[in-house]
Amino acid sequence: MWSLTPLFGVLAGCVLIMSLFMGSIWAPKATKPGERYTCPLVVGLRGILFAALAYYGLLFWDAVIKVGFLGIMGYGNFSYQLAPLILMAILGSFFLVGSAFTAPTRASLVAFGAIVIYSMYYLQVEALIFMGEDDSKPIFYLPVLIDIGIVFIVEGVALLYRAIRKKRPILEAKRLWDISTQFKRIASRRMYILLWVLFSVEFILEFEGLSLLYWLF
Amino acid sequence: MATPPCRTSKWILKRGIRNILLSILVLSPVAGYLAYSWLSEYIAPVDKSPWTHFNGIDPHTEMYVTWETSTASASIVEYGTTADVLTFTPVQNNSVVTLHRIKLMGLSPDTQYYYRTGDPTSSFRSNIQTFRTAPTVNQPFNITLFSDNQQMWGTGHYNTIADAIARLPGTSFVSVAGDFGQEDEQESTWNLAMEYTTRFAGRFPLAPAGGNHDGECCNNLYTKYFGVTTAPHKNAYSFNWSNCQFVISNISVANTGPDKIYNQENDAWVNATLAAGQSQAYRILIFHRAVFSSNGDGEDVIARVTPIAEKYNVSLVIYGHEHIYERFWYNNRMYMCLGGGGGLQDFFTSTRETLQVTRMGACFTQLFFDAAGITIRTFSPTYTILDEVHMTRQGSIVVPDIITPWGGMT
Repeated sequence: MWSLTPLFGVLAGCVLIMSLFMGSIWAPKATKPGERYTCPLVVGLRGILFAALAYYGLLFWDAVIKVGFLGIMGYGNFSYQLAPLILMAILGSFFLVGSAFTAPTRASLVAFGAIVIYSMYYLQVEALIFMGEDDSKPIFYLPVLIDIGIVFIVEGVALLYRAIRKKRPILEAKRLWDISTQFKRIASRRMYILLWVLFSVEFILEFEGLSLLYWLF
Repeated sequence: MATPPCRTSKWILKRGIRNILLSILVLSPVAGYLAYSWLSEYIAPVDKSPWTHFNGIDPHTEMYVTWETSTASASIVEYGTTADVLTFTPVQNNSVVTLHRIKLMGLSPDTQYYYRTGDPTSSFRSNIQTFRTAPTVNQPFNITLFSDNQQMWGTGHYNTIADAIARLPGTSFVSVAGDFGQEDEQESTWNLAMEYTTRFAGRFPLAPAGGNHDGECCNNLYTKYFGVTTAPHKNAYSFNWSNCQFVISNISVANTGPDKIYNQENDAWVNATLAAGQSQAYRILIFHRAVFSSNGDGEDVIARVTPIAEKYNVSLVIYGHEHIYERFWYNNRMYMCLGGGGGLQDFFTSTRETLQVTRMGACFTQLFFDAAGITIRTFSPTYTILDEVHMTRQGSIVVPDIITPWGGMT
C-alpha cells in the first residue's frame, strides 16, 4: 500500500491555504456571500482552481484514510501525525465541497466524477509503479494537469451542447443546487485566517520535529 | 443595478498597496521562519568545541580529539582519568592551524578519560569534556545512532535530537549513518551541524559514516572534520567494542566506470573485514545509502549488500538516506533505516511484506548489547519509545522475538 505522509499534507496545505488566502485578498468576492465573479476569464481560472483543489482534496483524504485509519505508518508516534491528519481532513473536505458541491452543474458533477476516477487510479495504481523508481515528483502536478484537461473537455462539450441547442446563454449553465452563500459563510475570511494560522504553526513545528498535538500522548 | 463609480488610479494604487502588504503579511510567518533558519546556518560559529572520534584507529587505546578555531593557533590537549586533575603529559602540536586534531595514544581500555583543549601559548582552555575507551572484555553496552541530520537551508530538527542525546545518562558512542552536513563543500552547513553535534560530543565519541551529502569520496568537509582512514575508501573503518564488530563503510550508488572499480575495492574490504570479525558475537554494518525503503528500494545496493549480510552473519545492517525510520526483516537479517535524525521527513511511504515498522518524525535509536542478544529501542526527542524489539542470539545470527510482516498491517 502506498500513501503520502502527513508531512506532505502540512506543506502542501500550507502553500494552498496561503494561496487561497491571498486570492481572497485580491478577489474579495470569492469569500463574500451572495457575490460571484461572472467574467469568462475568471470563470475559466476557477475551472483550473476547481480541478487542482478537487485533486488535492482527494489526495489529502487518501492519506487521512491510509495513515489515520489503515495504520500504514503504525501508531507508535501517532501524536506526531494527528494534527496534520486533522488539518488535512478539514482542508480536504473544504476543497472537495467548495470545488464540486456548492453550486454544481450537471457537467461539473460529471467532471468531478471523472476526476475522482482518474485520481484514484493514479494514486492507487500509477503511484505504486513509479514509487519503485524513486521519482515521485509527477504526483504534485501531473494529475492536476490531467484533471484540468478533464474539466475543460467536459465543460467544453457541455458548452457546445448548449450552443447547439440554443435554449440558454451558453455561459450560463443550470445549477442543480446552490449553497454557495451558506458555504461562503463557513469558508469566510475568518476561516481562512484560522486555517492559515494553524497550518503555518504546524508547518514550522514539523520542520522542528514537533507537531501541534505532539504533547497529547 | 447602479453602475460602480469609476475607479481612479489613486484608488487602484491604494488598493494595490494594501493588498500587497496583506499578501506579505500572509506569507510572513512561514517565509520568516525559513529566512531565520537559513540565517542561522550562516551565523553558526566557525569555532567548534572539541569532539572525540576514532575513524580508522583502535578505540581501546587511541582517540582523536578534534576542534576548530576561527584564528590559527597551536594545539594542546590536557587529559587524565579524573576530572579535577588532568595529570597525564599533555599532547601538543606546535603547527599553527585552525582545524586542530590531536591523537591520544597509549590509553587504557574501558577507562573514562577527561580532557580539555586549547592553545599552548595562551591560558585559554575549553571546558573539561570526557570520553570512555572501548572495553576488551565482553560486557553489556549501548550505542546511539541516527542518520541524515542534514539541515537543508538551516531547517530541520537536528537541534532537538542533539539535545535529547546530550541528556542521555550514558552511551558508549554515537554513530551517524551519513549525511552529517547538507553540502560537502559548504562550510556553513557544517558549522551548524557541528554546533548541534558538540552539545553531546563532549561526552560521547562520534563514529560517523559518510553519506552522499558528505561527499562520497575524499577531500571534502567530512574528511576535514573526521580525517581519512587507510581503507580503500578513505571514509571506511572498522573496530571492535566489547563482543561486537562495527564495520562503517560507504556504499556508493553509482556502479559504473571508475566508481565500479572503487566499489569493487570497497566491497572487497567489507568482505575481508567482516570475514575477520566472525569470532565476535555480533557484527554491525553501517553505511549511508538505503537498502530497503518505503520510499523506493535501492536495487543496486540490495544486490551488493544482502549477499554480504547473509554470508558474514551480519546482525544488523544500518543505513539512512531516506528520511524516515524503518525496520525490515529480509532473509533472516535485520535492515534499519534511521532517517529521523534531523532532515525534513519523507513525503511518501509504501508498505511491503518485509517491512516491520515505519515511523515518521524526529527520532534516534539505541542498541543495547549483552551476551543474550541485542535490544533495539527507538526514541522520540522526549524519550517516548517509538519502536522496541529484542533480538535473541541464535548461534552466529540474531533473530527478533517478534516478526511482523507488512509493518503490522493486515
